[in-house]
Amino acid sequence: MTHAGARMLIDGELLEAAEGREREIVNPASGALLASVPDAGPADVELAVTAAARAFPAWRDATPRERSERINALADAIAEHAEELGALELANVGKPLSVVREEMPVTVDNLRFFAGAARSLHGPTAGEYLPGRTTSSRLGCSTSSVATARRSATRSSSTPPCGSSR
Amino acid sequence: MRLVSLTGSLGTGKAIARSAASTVKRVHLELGGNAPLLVFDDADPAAVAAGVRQAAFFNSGQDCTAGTRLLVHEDLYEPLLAELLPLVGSLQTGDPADGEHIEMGPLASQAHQRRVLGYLERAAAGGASMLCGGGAPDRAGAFVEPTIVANVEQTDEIVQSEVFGPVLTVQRFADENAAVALANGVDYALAASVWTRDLGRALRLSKQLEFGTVWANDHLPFMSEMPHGGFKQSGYGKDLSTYALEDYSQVKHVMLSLD
Repeated sequence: MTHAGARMLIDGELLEAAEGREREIVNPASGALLASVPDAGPADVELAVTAAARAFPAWRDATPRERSERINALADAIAEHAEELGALELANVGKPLSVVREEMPVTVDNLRFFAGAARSLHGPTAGEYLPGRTTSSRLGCSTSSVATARRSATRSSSTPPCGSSR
Repeated sequence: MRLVSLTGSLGTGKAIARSAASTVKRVHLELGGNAPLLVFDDADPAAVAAGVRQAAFFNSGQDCTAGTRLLVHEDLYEPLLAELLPLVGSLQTGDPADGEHIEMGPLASQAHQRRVLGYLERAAAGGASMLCGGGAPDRAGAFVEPTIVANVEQTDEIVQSEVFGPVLTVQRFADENAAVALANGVDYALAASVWTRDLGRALRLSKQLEFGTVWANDHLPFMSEMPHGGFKQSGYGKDLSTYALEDYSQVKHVMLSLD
């Protein structure tokens, strides 16, 4: 079983390595060729990091519910393809069936845990510790603080939300 | 990019931390382990042997929390090995594609097989004895036999290194302090386990063992709700659990004047 035409998914496109190099993946139990895959280099990493940086503001500004739903959708996709992914893992690195059958549900569960946690991410301290001032610590990259929410229509806040791209 | 997270080797982790320093990026490192199993003389040798078989040989030992160093009270040393050796000999090894009965497959690649066999050859040349296994079986593929190595010193390469294969070293200890000294006496510090019926001892040792996870009468299980990450050269930062959320987020202080 050789998987032909394997490509890297970067910025929504299936790509070969920028320098055109390929790496042969061999089943370690049988020695059979499993696939020939792109062998990424610095240019490919640059492309992926640039795409991620471009995508980040929309992700940062998504509500916890939206981010949670996306992560759960990824978990759903892995659960749906668990058998196929497990078979690839078995052939790729020689894991026994008992191991891959244990790992796939753990992978799905880990994503679901963080999908849930994204909706209850909060700073543990908030209060009026100085006269005439209210203060809070905020964990994560939400823009939904009172100060920025009021100005969200114009996005002209002088206080950049955390995790801004520069 | 604000943070680099790596699960990988110690050498790669150090290179990333050095590189990240130039732009003050956060670094989150899980750099492997070399987990001790501390077995006391009040433990049931049959139950411990079953646990050790799983801890050491699950996924051919290619798990950063795999039990790799069996530390046994001198009075239980012979009874435990008498239980353990036949259990390890019963491991069904082979090509995982052959079916569900295969418990242990090959290593992940031939390059890794050569690395693991190199550790075993150097250990044997240095005077270690192989209680079982010790080499590659007579078949094609990146296989290494389930191996138990005795007659080793704490400073030996096979004891100090993360071999990442189906290889378990065995050492004896006379008392609790000696056991803790052997357990803590490596640079890696990801996970450890204590095997005893004395829960006071289990709790006492959980404080003295410098590892990110300490199990008692168990080894390997983890879950999404609890943190996973090492001390010392096993790296820093936690994965899994709400601790990981903090590692992968930034805390901001926001203050408003009420005027």
